[in-house]
Amino acid sequence: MRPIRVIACSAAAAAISISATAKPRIYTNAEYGIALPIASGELLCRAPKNEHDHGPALLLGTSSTRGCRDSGHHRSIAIFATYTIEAEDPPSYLNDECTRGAMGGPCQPAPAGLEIAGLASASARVNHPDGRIEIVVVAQAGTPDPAFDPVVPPFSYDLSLYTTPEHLEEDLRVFRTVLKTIRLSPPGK
Amino acid sequence: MADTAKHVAPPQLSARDKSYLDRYYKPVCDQAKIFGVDPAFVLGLAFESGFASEGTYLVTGDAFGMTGGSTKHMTRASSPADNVRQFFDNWGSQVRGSGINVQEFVNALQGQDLAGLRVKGWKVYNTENFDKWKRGVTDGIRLMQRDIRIYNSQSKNK
Repeated sequence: MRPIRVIACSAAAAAISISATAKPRIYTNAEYGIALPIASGELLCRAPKNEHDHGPALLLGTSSTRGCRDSGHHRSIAIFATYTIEAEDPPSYLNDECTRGAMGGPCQPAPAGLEIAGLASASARVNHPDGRIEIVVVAQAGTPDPAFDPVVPPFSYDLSLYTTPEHLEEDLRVFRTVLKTIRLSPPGK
Repeated sequence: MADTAKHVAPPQLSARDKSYLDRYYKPVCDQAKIFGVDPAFVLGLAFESGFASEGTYLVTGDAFGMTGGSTKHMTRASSPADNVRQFFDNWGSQVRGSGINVQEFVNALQGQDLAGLRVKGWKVYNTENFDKWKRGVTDGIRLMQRDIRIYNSQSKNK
């Protein structure tokens, strides 16, 4: 058995609070160039201040922030930005993730028309074993960096809708609006 | 037909990844040996910084995204060796002994044991978007496992 040691910062970590509010109008993230208008009825979850902010989550159909720590298990839209890890375009990346089982379930085609205008993107639907439905759109943006790859943009974005069969149509409408209104304009070097 | 294989280009490192491994591979290996963890796991965490090439890394010198989303909460490192030491100082006790088990390593960073149960007193590396962060880490680790093989074979051939 591995020794379990309580480290000095644990008390501070336990006190992490995730800020959430029903009223912010726009979420911005300078590092990844995200600007996301927040509509009424969407509850914004921001990353705790001592964590790297990879993007927000929006809880749907609730006024409680309790789902912020576990947004993938609540009706929500989650945006996760990273620097591109491998030199792949979105369809190849998503196909790889689906093929190796990284999505948590078998991938199926997503509903038609899910994309971010002007960006290379790909989409899929995953029916999770616990009944949740995840619809994911992956996209890339930014000016390619020759030190990594001269063709593939250096910023990658995952936008996921997590919902239930009974809320699929309702939440899909919100997701389509997010895809239309989000702005992904990462900074150049 | 027999000649076809000879013309297949060997896998290459991107300039980004070579630069990263030139700076981080040795310090990570030295510490990883002490803590009993696969160096590729720790190296893979640098997906947070585009493998020490992007974003707040350029300001802070922290490749592992220990913090950095906010300018008020950055971890600052004076060198790769310093950055690696910071990682093991902060997280070494949790990942100690995870060996070559990716799940154990990732769970430990999330304050969980191998079975996914919360361990009292352990910190959590990333509380938001956990599933996606986990996918980012495992993608980063997968890339580093491949890159290290290439890096070592190129080093031997020098």
